Amino acid sequence: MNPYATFAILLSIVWAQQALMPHTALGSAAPFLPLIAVVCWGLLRGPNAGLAWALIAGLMLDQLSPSPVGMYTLPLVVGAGVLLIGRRVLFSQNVVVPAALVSIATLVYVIAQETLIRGDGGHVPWALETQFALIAPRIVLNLLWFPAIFFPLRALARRIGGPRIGLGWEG
Amino acid sequence: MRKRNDRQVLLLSLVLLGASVSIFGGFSGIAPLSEAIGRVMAPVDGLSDGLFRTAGDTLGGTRNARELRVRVAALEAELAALEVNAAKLGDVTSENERLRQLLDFRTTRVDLDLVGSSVVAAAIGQEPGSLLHTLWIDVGEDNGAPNGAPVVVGHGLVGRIVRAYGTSSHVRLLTDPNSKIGVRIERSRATGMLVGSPTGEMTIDYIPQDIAGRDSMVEVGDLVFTSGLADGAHVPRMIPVGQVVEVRQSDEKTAQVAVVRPHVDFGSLEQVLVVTDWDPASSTADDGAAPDEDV
Repeated sequence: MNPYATFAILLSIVWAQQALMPHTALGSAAPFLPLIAVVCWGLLRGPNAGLAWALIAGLMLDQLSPSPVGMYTLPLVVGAGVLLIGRRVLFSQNVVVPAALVSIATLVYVIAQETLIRGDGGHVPWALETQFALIAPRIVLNLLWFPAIFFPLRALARRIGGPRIGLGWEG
Repeated sequence: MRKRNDRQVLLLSLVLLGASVSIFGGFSGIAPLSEAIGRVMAPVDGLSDGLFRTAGDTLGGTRNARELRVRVAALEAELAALEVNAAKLGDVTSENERLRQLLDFRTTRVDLDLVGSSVVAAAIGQEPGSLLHTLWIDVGEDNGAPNGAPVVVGHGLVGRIVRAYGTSSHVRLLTDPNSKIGVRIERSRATGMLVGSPTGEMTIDYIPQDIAGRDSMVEVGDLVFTSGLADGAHVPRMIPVGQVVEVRQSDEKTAQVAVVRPHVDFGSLEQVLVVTDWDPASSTADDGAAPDEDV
């Protein structure tokens, strides 16, 4: 895929994340479009493509945050790592796979970013109810937004051709 | 031919008769005659009158309907313009209210040497991820807003600038997990460290346990202000922070933890005040002054 097009797509996703997603928040949790896009693109074009998107989108997000560089890049790359696990079951013709991968990627992303925040001296309570309050709504929101990201990216993937990975629920 | 002439004569006679009745109608001598003619002509008059009136109404009604349509269109356009103006007025009113609160804050905190050392900034963006809580504002080092400067609104403390650029800055909100601010509970004078968390909950950790026979250190409803102590971020003292809504024991039961509800609605920040300089000595002089105690 054209690197300029990749850059433009990721930039618009990051922009939407910063400008629009805070308005769709559920309490303190908001959907995280870059992670959904990374997982979707990894499902459609292979884990390597997903990891590349995670790296680029993460660096863009780091520029928008006062936190140390890597606060977004590392969790995104780690979250995209679930694609490597999911790769073995991608051809299982199971509808649950994409949703499960988004859920697992969200869980991994939140835990990775919490770890970085603690490492940076931040206060993240260990209490189970806090962890549940942090993770559960984000998984639900990301699952709700998953189709909105997946179908446009699938159309894009079909348009540009090249290697394609089936999900079992494509037309 | 003769028959035709007779008809013309009869018609002329009737017209003359009618004219004379009209002219001399006031004379009582011919009143019975005019009354009789009136009776004969009344149905004809009524019929013609009705016909002409209906035709007139129809023509007039068509004209009125056209005028009314134009009028309705003009009124609809006027209504739309008024609705837009009302929306603008509401926006201006709320902005005015916010700016008044900022102005009040500046005037009530003259003792902290805030006048002339602060700038009004507008919030222009938020943290992209929801675990961290920061805000972009449209002033930076070029406007005299340095790193570490406290950011306030009329209701209280918002946070601190953690990264200042030329004309913009990043503000770390009180709810951010990396935020640490020294605070004091107004009633008991107990001090502690206010920390945020990814869920947005603010807590004061390590409040000493109550001592028997003395007032409790912290209770639900207590007001929380900045302490001005440099144990956390250095901010002017007595800036309102929030109110205690829950008190619980720490895991080790050696201290108390107070959950604080902020005075500031972090989700709807538009204008903020950056405190660029203050006098710590004068701010500690007024120990009891609570500038904004309404919750």
